[in-house]
Amino acid sequence: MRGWLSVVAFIGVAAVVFAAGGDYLKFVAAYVMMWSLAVWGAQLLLRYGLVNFGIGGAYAVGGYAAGLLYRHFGIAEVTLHILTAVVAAGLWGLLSGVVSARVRGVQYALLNLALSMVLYSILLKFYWATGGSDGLYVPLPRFFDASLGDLGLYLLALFFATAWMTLGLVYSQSAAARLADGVRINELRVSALGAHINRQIAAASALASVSAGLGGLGVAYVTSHVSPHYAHWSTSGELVVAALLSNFLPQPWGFVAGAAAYQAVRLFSLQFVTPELFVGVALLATLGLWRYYRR
Amino acid sequence: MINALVAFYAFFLNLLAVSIGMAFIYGVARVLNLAHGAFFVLGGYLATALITRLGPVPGALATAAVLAALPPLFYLYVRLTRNELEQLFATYALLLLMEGLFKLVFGYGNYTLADLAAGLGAASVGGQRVPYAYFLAGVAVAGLMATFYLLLYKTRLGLYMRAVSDDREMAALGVRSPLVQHLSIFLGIFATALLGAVAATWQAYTLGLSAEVLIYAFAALVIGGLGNIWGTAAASALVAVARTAVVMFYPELELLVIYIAVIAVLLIRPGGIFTRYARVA
Amino acid sequence: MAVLSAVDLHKSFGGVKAVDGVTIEVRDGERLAVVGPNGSGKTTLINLLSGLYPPDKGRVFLQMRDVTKAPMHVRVRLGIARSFQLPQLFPELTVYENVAVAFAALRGFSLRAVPHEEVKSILELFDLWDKRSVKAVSLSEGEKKVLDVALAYVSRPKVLLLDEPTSSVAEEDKMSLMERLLEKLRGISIVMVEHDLDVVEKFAERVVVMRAGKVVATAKPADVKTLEI
Repeated sequence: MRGWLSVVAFIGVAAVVFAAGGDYLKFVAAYVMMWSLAVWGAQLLLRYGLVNFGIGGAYAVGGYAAGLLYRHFGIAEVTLHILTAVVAAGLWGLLSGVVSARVRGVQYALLNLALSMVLYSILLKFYWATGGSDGLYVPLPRFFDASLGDLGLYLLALFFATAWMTLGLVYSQSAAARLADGVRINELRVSALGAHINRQIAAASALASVSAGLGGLGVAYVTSHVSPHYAHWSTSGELVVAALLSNFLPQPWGFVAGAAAYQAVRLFSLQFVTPELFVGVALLATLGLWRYYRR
Repeated sequence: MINALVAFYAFFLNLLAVSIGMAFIYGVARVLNLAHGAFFVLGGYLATALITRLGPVPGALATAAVLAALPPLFYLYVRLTRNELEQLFATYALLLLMEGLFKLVFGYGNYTLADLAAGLGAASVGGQRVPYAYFLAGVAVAGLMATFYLLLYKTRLGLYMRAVSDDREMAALGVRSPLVQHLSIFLGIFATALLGAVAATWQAYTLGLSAEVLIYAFAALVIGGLGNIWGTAAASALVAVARTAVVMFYPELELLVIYIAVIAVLLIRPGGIFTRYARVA
Repeated sequence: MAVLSAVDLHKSFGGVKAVDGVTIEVRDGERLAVVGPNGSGKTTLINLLSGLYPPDKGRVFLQMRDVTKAPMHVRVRLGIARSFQLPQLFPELTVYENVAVAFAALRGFSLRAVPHEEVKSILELFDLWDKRSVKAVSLSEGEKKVLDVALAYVSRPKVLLLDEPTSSVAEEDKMSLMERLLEKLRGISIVMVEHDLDVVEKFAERVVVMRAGKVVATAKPADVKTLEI
């Protein structure tokens, strides 16, 4: 089966990068693999025709799970971090999903944008708890008594990426995916066929947020830091652009490749332009590509 | 107490300037301009830059000229998009582009005309010194609301705008819809940007302001009913009151309180509190 | 025994009264036709029965159960399904995928795949198996209508509301289309809104006539052409 073959191929490529690459390349690879989970989440919602400019909220929840657990309780255990991130981000996704599923289109995008900015403002202002604009230090996680170390972190990133590829493979064959396509194409008919659409969206939102949360956790590990900027609307914008790019690429590895392509171009162009300018132009370019492709 | 009133007044004017423009454009042209706050901020930046360089009168004229040239460009830009989703991406990209350009062109500093406007003098209100510049903006906003009222209810064009706002297809049968759209976009953007320019006389413009304003404007739009101008105006007042109160007593909860209200409205009356009947589509 | 009934339904849009005190009963297994001039409220009635929007006044019962407050998707799961005057399909999806969506709609958020056998049996029942890989947008008008009905059938409804099933189908194909459809739908109670009186005469068992939002007469199919519609 082509799907599973590409997962194996991907593991091979990641292994080569680790073995042969320098420190910077390994850092970028780990970053991309972790970040790609959040891209997967954005892509999931795009399948319903929903553009979530607030997915950064879930992304931040994941990162701060680790940061806060360490800062206030001294916990660096990776299993606890993951459990907390999943539960907290899932709750965030469920609640924001229930609320924002009542609207569509621009209103949906804007409502989620606003919700994530509320979180941003809370993270910024409650500085005695969250570290404010400085953010929080995130240590290299420990697995029981052993520190993960560079190899361990890379393996964690690889594990996440491959797990999500597998999830993507399962999802693309699922009833939920069919329904997502239906909702995107003709919502009225899907409702007339018996689907409780808002509930579907809330569930998808929870799943997407768990992905984004784990992505945020992973990126926080790789960069040893989490800041309120994770929840900023421009962060969500980047995730959406990368998700749009990933829609051009085949499953199951599309979301990782899209994430990699986006980050590569971004890192390159940061020498010339401001980040916002880059994301804005990237978005327009992707839009143009999308239009051309679907003519 | 006067401090609170002044803070409320200033915030209310800013919010009104942005949200009314957004509501008007959405109501008539069905464009939800995510970048609308950026136009407000651009007005402030431009006015400051041009007036300090060219002097008050030439600077003001130059600002007005540049601002008037922007809406047609925006209109053309939006017309490239084919559906709501593309429009969403396009205006979001525009917001990012404008924020990026602000960083490049204007840099990180504070831009304000307050020092120049101090020359206008100040009034003494309840023992507190309030610069005349504040009243200038109030007059400008009042003028804007009056203009909207006259336009919408006393002119043929306004009638067309209201018709298009209620039902585009029906109106298209007899009304020159693209022209109406174009004009509404012009009015919405130009008015907001101009008010941004006027508001430079008392406040400072800096990076990140556009998104901040956008967040509050959206809250006002949802609470007042998307596209409902008078509802949005009333909602802006509500949001301004709530925000001023919260900032005085518990500043960390500033956005949170507003958004609980937005969520409540979306759950209970999604059409907006002030809408008499929600549009079906 | 009435499988579906409505009592004193009223619905206005703006100032226009679309349905003005309609009481109607669908007997178990029957083929009921609803006829009337344009604007008489037929489609609004179907919308009220299927739950697209709630009535201003009145009630809807499915086998003695009051479903007036139930939204459309709940009514589908209880047994009321409908087709649309303009076929509501998923144009860029294939015929197979269209039916798969219909099955998926009845499940919750499920990571399990839609069972291939079930999709296949529906496609075979409606003679669409050969076209399973064709995009819905490429189907002929008649085939689109069949697919539309097939989608509604997936929920195994007790009552199927057909809104103008032969409209936009070529004149010479109308009768064979209806014959084909009704053959597959045996045992299900059918309400069909129709303009074509030949179709009504041949396929309906009872006819309800509407005008200006009210039911003005019931008739036998044989008599329907003599009535002043």
